[in-house]
Amino acid sequence: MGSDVMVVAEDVVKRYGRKDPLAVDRVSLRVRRGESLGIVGETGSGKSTMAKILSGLLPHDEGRAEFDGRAIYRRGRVDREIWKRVQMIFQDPYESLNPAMDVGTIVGEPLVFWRGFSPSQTRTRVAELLEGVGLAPSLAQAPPEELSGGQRQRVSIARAMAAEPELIICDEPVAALDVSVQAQILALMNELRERQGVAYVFISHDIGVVQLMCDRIAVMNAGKVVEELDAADLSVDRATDPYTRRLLASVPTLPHIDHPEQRPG
Amino acid sequence: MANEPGHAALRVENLNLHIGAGPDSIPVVEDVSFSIAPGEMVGLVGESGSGKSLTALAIMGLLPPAIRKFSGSISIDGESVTASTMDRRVRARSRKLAMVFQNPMTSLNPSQRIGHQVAEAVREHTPGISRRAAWQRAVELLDLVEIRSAERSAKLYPYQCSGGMRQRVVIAMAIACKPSVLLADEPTTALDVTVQKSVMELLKNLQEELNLAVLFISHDLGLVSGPCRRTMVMYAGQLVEEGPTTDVLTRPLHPYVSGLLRCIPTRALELGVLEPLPGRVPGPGQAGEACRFVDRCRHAIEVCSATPPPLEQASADRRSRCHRWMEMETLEHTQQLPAPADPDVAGA
Repeated sequence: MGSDVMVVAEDVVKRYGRKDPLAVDRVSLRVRRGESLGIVGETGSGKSTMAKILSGLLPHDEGRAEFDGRAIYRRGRVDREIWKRVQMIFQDPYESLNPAMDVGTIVGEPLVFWRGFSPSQTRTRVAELLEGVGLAPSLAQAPPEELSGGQRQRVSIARAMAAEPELIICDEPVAALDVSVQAQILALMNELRERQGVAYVFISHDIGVVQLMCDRIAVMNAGKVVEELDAADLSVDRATDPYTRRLLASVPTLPHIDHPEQRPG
Repeated sequence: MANEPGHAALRVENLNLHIGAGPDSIPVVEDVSFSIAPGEMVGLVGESGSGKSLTALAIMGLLPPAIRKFSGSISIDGESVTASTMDRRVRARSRKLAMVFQNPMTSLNPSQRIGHQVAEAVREHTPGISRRAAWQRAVELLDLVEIRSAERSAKLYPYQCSGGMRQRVVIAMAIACKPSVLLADEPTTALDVTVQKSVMELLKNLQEELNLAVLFISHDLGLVSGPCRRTMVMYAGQLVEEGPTTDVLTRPLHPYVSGLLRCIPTRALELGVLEPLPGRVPGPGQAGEACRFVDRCRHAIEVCSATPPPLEQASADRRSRCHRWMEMETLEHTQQLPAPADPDVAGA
């Protein structure tokens, strides 16, 4: 199903310094339309570098990186058409929103820039987008500094959705949030995926999070994808790569809940 | 049970902390009481603003200046440490109490060799010890925290160490004073999971070997479930639940705890559904007068917004600050059924 594949990375290599080890070492990945691919790994695994390459923020050195059949970079320069169709959500909502703009301008910018909306069209659409991520439309006038971490991340999502992208690349989008806020954002992202059919590349160090959010998961270590498997197979028993197994064995686990019939009382 | 007087390494009673002074002061920690026995590791869990870190800082005598009103008593090994001046408090505590923070870099001097920094901690607590003996002791401590080739590693600077190794150095400094109580505030949060696991194992080993009482503070319920037999949960400045960790994490007696558990991805996978807690944690002074959790609670009834629930002893080793703790198990169980409310609930 060739046309079904949206992102193709083949033997992608990225080297930061001439003497440094490869940040990304011959990585091959595929993302299908509407799919959610997780990339897990620890510090220095190359997962964030891979996110930047796929989103057109960092040219790679070798290999093939394509979006919908078009090379993401030509002679080291990004194909800007990609930015209309691929959006990013970053980890730190305290740094990724421009403090000099109000929320409405932040969310509306892609509408004006990519889709030529008039000011009144923009206002209407921004209100819809804010509602779509569970924020009051009146927040459009607020500066980001008045928002909580969870609200800021909702703004990031609304801005990403404004471009009506086919793919959103999220780099640790919930890592800076409290557990209950994290769950709200994850639920929202799942809902948007169902509603809009957007695909995700979801990068996280948190195995529970990617397992919840993704169909397939690539495990990265030291620049390489060491294993790729279905989310349901991401367990110590089913993973085959030794690093994957060690990683999974290190994750703190909650005690399993008793089945209701076993409960006392 | 650790609550018996005389046997506690750490005892906190009716701790109250307020931002500001006078009638407009805002409570940020309210009526927190607990104790930890020697050799026991207790988890203290909560989200941002729950008051868990402030509780630790109060014990340590390191409260930020914004906290102007302080009441309650804190004792270590039966000795009261709630002296009137901050300065005396610090000195009284320093010998029996140590703390490990989240980011090891903030606890280390970047321009000194790690062995030197541990040796300094040794000298601080061992009057009259020679530099050479202190260095020797520092190497022993680095070895004790399982740093490989301690003798050679002692000469490294912090920037030459990995995050996990830095946290081990900080732990070595903390135990240099032979404390009876260790406060660990998110000590592994900045670390990768594989490193986190090894640091947790180290803490567990030290707790057993040195008979340390450890207050382990974390936002991660999964993390406390391994080493802590007992867990306390805070919400909006109050202790809302306490009990044996497995009970708290599988049959919670407070709706906040059960809601928080449902927010955890692995639990959501187990349940087959992600049900986030609605709303957000109230800021200081924003919560209602009655139950702090009432606005977000799926089991709230009239009494919940009328009367503040006391922290009740639910059983010999469990406490809950919920008016409906007795019904919790039935309530949670019925919520999972697709059918309309079970007629038995009211009678439960």
